[in-house]
Amino acid sequence: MSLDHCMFRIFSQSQDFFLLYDEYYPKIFAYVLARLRHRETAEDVVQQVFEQALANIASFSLKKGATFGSWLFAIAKHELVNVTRAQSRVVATSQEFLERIPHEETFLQTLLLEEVAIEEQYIWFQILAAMDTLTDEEREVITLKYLAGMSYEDISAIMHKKPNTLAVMLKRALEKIRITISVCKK
Amino acid sequence: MQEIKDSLKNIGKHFQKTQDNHQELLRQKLSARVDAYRVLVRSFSWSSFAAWSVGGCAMLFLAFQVHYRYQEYALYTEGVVYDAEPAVFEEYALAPSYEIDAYALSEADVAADVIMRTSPSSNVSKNTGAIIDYEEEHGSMIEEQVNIALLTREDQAASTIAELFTSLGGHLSSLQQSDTYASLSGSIPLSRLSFFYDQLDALVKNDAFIEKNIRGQSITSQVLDVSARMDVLVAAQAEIAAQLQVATTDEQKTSLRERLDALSQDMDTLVKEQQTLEDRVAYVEVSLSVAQLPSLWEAHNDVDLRYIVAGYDEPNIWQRIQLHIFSVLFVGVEVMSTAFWILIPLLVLVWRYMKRRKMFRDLA
Repeated sequence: MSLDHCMFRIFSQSQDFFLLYDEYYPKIFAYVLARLRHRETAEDVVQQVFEQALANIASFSLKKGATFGSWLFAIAKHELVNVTRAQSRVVATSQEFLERIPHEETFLQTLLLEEVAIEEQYIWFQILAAMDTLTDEEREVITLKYLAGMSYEDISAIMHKKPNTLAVMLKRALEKIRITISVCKK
Repeated sequence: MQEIKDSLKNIGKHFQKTQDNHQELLRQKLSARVDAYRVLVRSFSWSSFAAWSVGGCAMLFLAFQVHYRYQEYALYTEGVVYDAEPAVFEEYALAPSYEIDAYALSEADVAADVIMRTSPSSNVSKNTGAIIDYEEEHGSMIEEQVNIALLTREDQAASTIAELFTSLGGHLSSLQQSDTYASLSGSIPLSRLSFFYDQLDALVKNDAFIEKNIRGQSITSQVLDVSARMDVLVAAQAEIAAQLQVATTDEQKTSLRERLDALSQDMDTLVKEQQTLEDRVAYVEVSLSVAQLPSLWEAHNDVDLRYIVAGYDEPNIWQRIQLHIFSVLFVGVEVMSTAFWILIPLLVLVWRYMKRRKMFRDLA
């Protein structure tokens, strides 16, 4: 029985709900953290996501083709909209990209990167800063695919796009990141 | 490109790992709320639904079985009999004072009883002595009318009885029929009346109710009256014939012949009257009312089970116990069915609502 089908047993055994919780919490947290780049705010948003999920659990239905994961991420997107509405994170120029790197460095340092090599850390700073040069959709698909670890099918259910379209977007986004980083290296 | 992908994956893994404390704290917070929602939302269980449906159907089946037995007996009771009575037995009210419940009486007993209880009704002859003398010599002249009422399950009872009239050499004079009631009247030869009764008994067999009411009326005085009038006419005819023999003028002869013709017509009338009287004795007027037992699901109020369970007699002690059990069981099953399908789900809904309110109050 898949984890999503645990939904139907959720209230006969509370452990089933926490199976889903344990499965999706890291992914939701990674997604929200990648979007907000602020740990405490991300924790608050994740808490709200799961409380909302619990409050509206009765309205969820597998029949519509949705998975529990896609449903959770939809709630997370909705919560993020409220938080990020006032923030504009699109970085248009290389200069703005370079100015973002220290901010990302500051952010990542809050995440306890002791076990990560310095060179690797710097690449991470650059990649996160380069993600701000992407469009919202490209950033979304990168975040869901690599940072949250979701499959193409789940991302398709979340973003309402075909997997082939997502693959093309992903490839384009990765190319943009590569170009941004290589240009700024020069 | 692959480096970027790997880096992104590593970033994602690191993001996912750096929240252990918060994950546990949030889990504890959510645990309390999960209990609250457990009351609110239930997963659909096919086994529960199947058990509920099968149980409900079983209860209804049991209720119908008891109700069926109750109604099956009740249909024979005063509820049905009394419902049919106004139409079927209304002739009781019209029966003359000498009516007899003659189901077990033979025809001879009926006739004898009638003779003893009936006063001569003819206003032509008052000679009771002559009547008795005539009856001693020729036997009693009884005109019989029989009223029979049937309650039966047979669908074709009315048409079968109608055929019986003609097959026995009688005559069916009227037949009125509806879905559940039929009224027949006609005449049956007196010699075939016993056979007619036997055929009726065979027709309705076990589960029917037969009432017979036989009326008899002596018409001996009318027979004597007609006979006496015939004698007078015969004597008059003889006298006129004798006068005709000695008539001299044509006018006298013509007048006497006219009187003879008139006498012949009167005599023909009397002969017909005699024949009619003979037929009235030789044939019995039979009126039948056939009421079909209504559907088992037709409601009856004020039924009395005594007559049915006891087979139209007062019930014995065992039958009284059965009646009591039927009544209690019938009411009990109706109550249980109502409780099973309506009250119990209602109580469960109310309980869940109260518990949910308490949970939210405690959480707040």
